[in-house]
Amino acid sequence: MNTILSLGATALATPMLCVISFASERPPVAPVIWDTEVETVEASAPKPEPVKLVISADAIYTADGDMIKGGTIAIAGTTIAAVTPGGVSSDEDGLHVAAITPGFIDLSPRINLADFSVEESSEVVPYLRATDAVDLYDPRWTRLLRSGTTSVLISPAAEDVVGGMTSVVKTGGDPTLESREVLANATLAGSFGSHASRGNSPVRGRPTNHFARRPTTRMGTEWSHRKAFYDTLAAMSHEDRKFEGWDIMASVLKGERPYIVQASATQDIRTAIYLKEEFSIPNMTVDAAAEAWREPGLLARSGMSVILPPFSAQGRTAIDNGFLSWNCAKTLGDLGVAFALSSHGSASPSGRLAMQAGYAIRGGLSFEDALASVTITPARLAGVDSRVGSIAVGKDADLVLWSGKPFAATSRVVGVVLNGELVTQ
Amino acid sequence: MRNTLLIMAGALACLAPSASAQTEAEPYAITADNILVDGGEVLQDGLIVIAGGKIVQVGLEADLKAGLHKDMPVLDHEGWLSAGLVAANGSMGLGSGVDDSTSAFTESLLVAESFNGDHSSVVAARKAGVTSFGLTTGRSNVAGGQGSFVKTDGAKVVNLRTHLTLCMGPPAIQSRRYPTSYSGAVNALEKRFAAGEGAFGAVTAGKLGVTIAVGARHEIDRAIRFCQKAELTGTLRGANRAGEFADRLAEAKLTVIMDAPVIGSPKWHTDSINSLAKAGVPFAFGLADSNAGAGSLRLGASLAVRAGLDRATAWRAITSTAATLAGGGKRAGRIAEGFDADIALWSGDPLSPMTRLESVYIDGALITEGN
Repeated sequence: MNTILSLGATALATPMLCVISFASERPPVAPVIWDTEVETVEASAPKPEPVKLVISADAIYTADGDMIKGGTIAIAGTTIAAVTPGGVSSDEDGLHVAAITPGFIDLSPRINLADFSVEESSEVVPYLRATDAVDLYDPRWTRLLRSGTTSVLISPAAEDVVGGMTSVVKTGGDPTLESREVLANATLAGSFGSHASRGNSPVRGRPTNHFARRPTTRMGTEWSHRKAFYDTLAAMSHEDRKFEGWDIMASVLKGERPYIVQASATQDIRTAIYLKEEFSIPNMTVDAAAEAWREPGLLARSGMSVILPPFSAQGRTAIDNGFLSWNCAKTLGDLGVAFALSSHGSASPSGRLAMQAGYAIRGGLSFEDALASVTITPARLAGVDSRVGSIAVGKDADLVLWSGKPFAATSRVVGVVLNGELVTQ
Repeated sequence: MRNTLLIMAGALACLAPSASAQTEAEPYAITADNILVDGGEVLQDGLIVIAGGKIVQVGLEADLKAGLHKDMPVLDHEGWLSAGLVAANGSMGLGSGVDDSTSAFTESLLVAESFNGDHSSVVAARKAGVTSFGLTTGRSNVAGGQGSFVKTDGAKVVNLRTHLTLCMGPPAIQSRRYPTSYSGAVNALEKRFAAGEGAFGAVTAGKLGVTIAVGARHEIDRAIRFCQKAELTGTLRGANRAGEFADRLAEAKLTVIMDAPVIGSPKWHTDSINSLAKAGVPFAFGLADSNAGAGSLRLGASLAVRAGLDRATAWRAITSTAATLAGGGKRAGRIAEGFDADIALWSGDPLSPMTRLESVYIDGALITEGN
């Protein structure tokens, strides 16, 4: 009880967000807040920041356990300070919404500088960083944030076999990498399918453009992949075989860094699976994997994770014309394949990440699995689940505020909280 | 010349360009109603003495005139005298040889070796009052070459190697050759600075300056990050939006060369200028990344003052700060003892658009009678 009162006393003084009245009237149930333990730590320990924002909701979907029916989230600094179950009356003063979910995480937002984001002078460039080609002033960041996506993986365009390292960044805040980066060089990006070989031709004489290079076919792409990993194995055991970026490739083989490859068509997904099994790559994900529903058994066998592109009315997707079935997500979920939904850079309103969760539910997926596939699962796949992806004390206060049941066609996003700040309303 | 009276008949010869060698050799003096010394400092009824192409004395006419040798020619100018204008950068006199397209890395090329001092663009510059500028490559190479500080009379090179010119975005990155991406360009430059050979080593050793061509906000952001990581202090060029990054630029100790505002420039341009001034980031106006001619410098400084910039900073942006950023700050851009006698005589306040340029002197020699 004391903790709740102190929470109210330190809440923001704005009338809209004032929680003193309802906090005192509402008996808290099992408050998950900084408690007496915090107060007994040594004086030298940094004092917890005061609560600056409290939001109540009829339902809090944590994506990390059960739904909390009626409760409040207290935010101190940039993180969640408390998640408190308890009755909530919507006529109280304070910020109250119908539902709260964690901010969404899009592992395939394709927010990059197009051709200038990918180094095409060579097909294997693991050492390059996507953050060196990021435009933090792109208006698409605001669109992502307003639609509820709070963290994304930035990656180069998929025109290389091994395209370089990707990073997880927030979609808002100061436009500097220092303030937005969640995890630098989080994963390595690769590509199967037609993109890595599209337009390439053999080098005859002196190359005159970047298309005069390997590979020129799907099988050539596979060959380049295998060569890169065999070269890496050689570099790991022979000093004289080291090449630029071998350590990045080695970190993938050792499972220290996830490998996310674009593979949309069935044969490309199979190729990716065979590569994973041949080199025992522990942590690998196929991105834009529209036709994953055709090989769910192989995916489950190999332990491959999946990122799905946005659903379309006709089923056909923009990447290699892959066909995405409405029940793809459910099929993967039933077999225990870890999967995330994505917008894959779709500019259309129907391509937004929140819409994808709704479509997946329509395809038979449970609400809980749909929520996880846009929050905690992508966070795990990118290795940032300790900071983002669910509503829990200590995690970043990235929240989506809803007018009704999340993902329902009749509900809309009424606000987004990023790093503890209410950034859109 | 209408307002310039010649006291000494013998000095007539000095005005003929063919006799410029004499004026370089023989000391002479110029008096003016107002001498714009540097920035906002104005000497009323001032006098300067020029000898050997240098300014040897600056002061009030009342203090100095009596001490002059009786035979010393004295030009009385009814109007303003200032330092010749300095463009912080420019590619005048290079014609089509601005960038060598054989490779994205041509860091050892000396741009002065392509410099044609009699090119019409150089003549146009001095007719607009520009007496020196930072000669630079274009932005079509990731490492384009080494810039120089040059005068606009003939092919006079003051400082052969002033800065290494870099660009990490298009058009330096292009589909025809390595690198094709921002990431690739950053990586390539990181490796070269780490290896520290040639021009890159000279930059890290502090023997050579560095300029990075930028445009869009993300390019400014990237260049600041690159400089901080590589511990470089240099100049961003073409950085018209730099004011939006003023605090970061100040922290990184970077300087800025931008286009001078023109009539019709967007408000963000002049806002950017004011933000840089407020944050104390040294900036100057250049011509290399602008479509405007040399005449844009003086008008741009006037427009910046009109938009709120203080006169001193605006004036320095086309004289002393420009010279400093271009690698000639110890010789050009100021009316001060020891500085080169690069001088412009004006009919009035040079920051007024109504003012005419009447004469231009470079190294003490009359070069042109202005536009």
